[in-house]
Amino acid sequence: MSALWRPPLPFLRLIAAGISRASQHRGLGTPAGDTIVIPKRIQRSPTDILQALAGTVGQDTTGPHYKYSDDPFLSPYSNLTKRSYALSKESGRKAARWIREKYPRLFSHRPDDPLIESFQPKQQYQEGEQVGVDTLVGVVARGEVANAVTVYHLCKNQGVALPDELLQDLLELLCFYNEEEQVDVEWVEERWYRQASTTTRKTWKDNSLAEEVFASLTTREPAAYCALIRGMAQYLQVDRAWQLYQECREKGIPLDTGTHNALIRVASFLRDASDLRWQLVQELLCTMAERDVQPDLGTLNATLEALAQVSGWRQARDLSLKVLMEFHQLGIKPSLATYYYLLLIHCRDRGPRSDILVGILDQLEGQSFTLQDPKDTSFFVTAMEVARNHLKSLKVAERVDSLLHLGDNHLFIGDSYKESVYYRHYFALSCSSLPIDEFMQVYDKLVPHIYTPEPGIMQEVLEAVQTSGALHYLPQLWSDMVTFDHSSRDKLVGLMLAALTHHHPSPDNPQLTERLVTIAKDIWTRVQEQDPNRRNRVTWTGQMLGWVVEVVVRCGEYQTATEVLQEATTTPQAVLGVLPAPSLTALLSAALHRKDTDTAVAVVLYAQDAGHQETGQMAQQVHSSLPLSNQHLAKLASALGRDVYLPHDTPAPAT
Amino acid sequence: MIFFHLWLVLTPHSSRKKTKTAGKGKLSPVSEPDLEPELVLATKEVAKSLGGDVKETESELLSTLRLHSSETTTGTAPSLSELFVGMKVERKPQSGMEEVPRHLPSGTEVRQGYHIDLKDQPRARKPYTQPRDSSVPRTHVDLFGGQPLGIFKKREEDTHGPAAPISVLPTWERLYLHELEQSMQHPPSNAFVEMIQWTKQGKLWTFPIDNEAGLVEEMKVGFHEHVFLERHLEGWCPKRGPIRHFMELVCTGLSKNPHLTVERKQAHIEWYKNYFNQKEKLLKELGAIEVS
Repeated sequence: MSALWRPPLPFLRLIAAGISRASQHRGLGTPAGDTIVIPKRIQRSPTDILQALAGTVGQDTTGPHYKYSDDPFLSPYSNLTKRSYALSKESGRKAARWIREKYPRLFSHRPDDPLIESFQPKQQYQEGEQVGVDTLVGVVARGEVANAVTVYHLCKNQGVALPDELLQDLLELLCFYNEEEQVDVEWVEERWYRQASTTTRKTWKDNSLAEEVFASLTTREPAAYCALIRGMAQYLQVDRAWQLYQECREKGIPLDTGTHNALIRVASFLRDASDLRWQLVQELLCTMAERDVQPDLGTLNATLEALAQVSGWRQARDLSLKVLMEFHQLGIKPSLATYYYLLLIHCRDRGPRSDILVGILDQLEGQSFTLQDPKDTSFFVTAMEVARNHLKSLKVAERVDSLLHLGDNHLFIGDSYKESVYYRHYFALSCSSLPIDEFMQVYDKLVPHIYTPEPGIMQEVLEAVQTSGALHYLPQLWSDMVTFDHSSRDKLVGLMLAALTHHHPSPDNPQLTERLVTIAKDIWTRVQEQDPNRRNRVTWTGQMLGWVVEVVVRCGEYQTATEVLQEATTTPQAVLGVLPAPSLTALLSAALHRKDTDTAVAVVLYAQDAGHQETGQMAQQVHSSLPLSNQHLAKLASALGRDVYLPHDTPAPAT
Repeated sequence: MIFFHLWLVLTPHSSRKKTKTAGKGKLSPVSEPDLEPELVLATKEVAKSLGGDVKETESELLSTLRLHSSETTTGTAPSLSELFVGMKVERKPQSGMEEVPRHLPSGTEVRQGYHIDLKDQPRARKPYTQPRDSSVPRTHVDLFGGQPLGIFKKREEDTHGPAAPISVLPTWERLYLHELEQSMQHPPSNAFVEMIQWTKQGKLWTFPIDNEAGLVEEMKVGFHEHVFLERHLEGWCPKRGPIRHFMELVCTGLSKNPHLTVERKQAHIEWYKNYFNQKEKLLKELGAIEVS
């Protein structure tokens, strides 16, 4: 070993003095200059420093999510584009993996040292391959279900003797996943966008490999029974699970906590009446106490889940609190899932109003959570929904939101569906509670990168803007509506038009007038040019066209109004209903003002076809204000009949 | 009757039927709390500023205030924004709030999606209805105020809280934890989170970078076995001569090679040994080996 280089002595002394001075400066307690206290090295895991760095990065609402390109033209704005961009990015990765697996001869080099397992192709097992016990052990340890089934069958065919522990592990694997291959861990986007299928149907595969393995075990350990019962209960094969449970009770086979929890969770399927269900749950709990099976957080959550399923039962509320207290005195701390179930039980749609969310938030304020139960991720969605619908309180909603954004808690939002529902509730609550200016600040913060409003919510926003008369937000809302693909929805377009009619142009808002007219013209051109073969098309109603006419006429765009009228007259079958009288009157006065006889006559004729009462008046107006040619008079006469509008001293037209 | 009409306009979230019953119930309120005169004045001002039918607006506002004051036990007046919740200043009677569009789950559906209701048929998607007895003061719930069920006995020796119950299914627990962890794996929100994910998947070097990370076998072998290879020459290699020179060069070369394992290096030397053994006759003729 080469000798350690030591710095010269004076240099060392300088360093020592410096360190002690520095430590004194920071108050680390070193006495003046003599002893140097070197602190103990803090053991850090490989990701600790990265974690600390990640904690400094907050949520950026001004740009798209990290996975998208941060370019205004390339980032997605509507829900459909967000989903498809994210999934297509992942499909590229899937394509790369597919090539890796299909053409392994292209990848015979190994640039990574040490070897990266996830880049190696997945091991496939073919017929006739030599497999042994170790293969099956490896496959089960990696949690690969399809491979495990294949290897098991290969072992059976080749007559390999499998030890009981291995069979037990295999049984647990099969029961946990119900023999279905899971989405690979790497496909994060797919998992994020995957909607949790909430079927209440039995999905357990009867007489399948799991039961075969169970039967082939030489000694039926309690563990085997536990695994099978848990699997059956999870995939809702309730009858057989209960049968097995009874069998275990008779034979005196001890079952563990998790199995009892699984049974409690499905107790609702075994009885019909609410009190009978609760009775069954109580029986199970008593059995646990008798057999000295220790309850845990899973038991608490399972009991509350069972209570949540007895919907509408009055005693559920009191019982839930009793259950909570019971487990509290055992020292079991509730998790977010517990609070989720409590919210389900207490804040029912048709029940009396309950303040439990406020109590829960008091309890949870300022805490960071760890995931202990799969249902933990449902808490925040439900809390926001309760704040919106049950309590109707923006204060509570904001407390929930600040709890969600504390530290790492944002991971508890679950998946993309829950996130969109969460923000939908928050958004709608803000819309109904806040004055329009403050609400538009919330809008600017969340939309479009954090949350894209659905059509129903956009409708509420438009109504709020219309109610408060803050029409200067309409241009922004319209451009957002176009980006989010709402411009093909009848109701929203109609609402926008109705909102536009509330604007009265005056000399001090010419810009706003111009912009609002642009919106009306844009709607007109967009609907006219939409593809006739599209499924979601906007069909003009007479009311909508009337609004268009009103707006453009009021704000001075006469040309468009004539086009609209043209359209309405030439293709009446494309329009549902007729233009209402006020809009026709407005158009008529504009036509008269501009001395446009053709349009004026056309308006009167249209009004006659539509059967408006004001037709006579309108005809008289036309006749008195403008000189009519013979053609016009003939048209009017044919439509209205001579005597309706003509003053008595008008000579008859030359025939 | 005026309350009846007002209810029809005021509460767009409720269906017609409910409002009728609620409205009828409201016809003869048991105890109507009085409003402060300042509030009444304020409502008058607001009604005037809103325009339209002043009287009607005023009465609407007053009734909403009365509703809120019957609810709030603290007695603080609700803010204006709270008052306007769900209220539309429209003159025409509403045609009733339309049903929530099909693709938007209403409150019931969101919850029904997350738990199973066997007894109740899945309800048709009604718009959210106000709770029936909204005039009942809100029930304040004390989370930990209930009486325990009395099923489980607390063990005296568990002073530090309960020990986690031992599970008999280790594989199941391992898979369960794996699934829990996966449900927290979201698409990364910034580059650091992405690097953390890659580190955990084994795709990225762990920090602080250790050159020998992953070389588990090599940790067991000391550097002296790589470097001091002359000992493998003992026994067969002559002490002088061209062969010795050559083999020393081979050993130097091998000792500088970081890419081979010790076994491979020894195998190299073995090969040379075998080779020179085979060619011994020729070498003796040439005089490369000393004939002793």
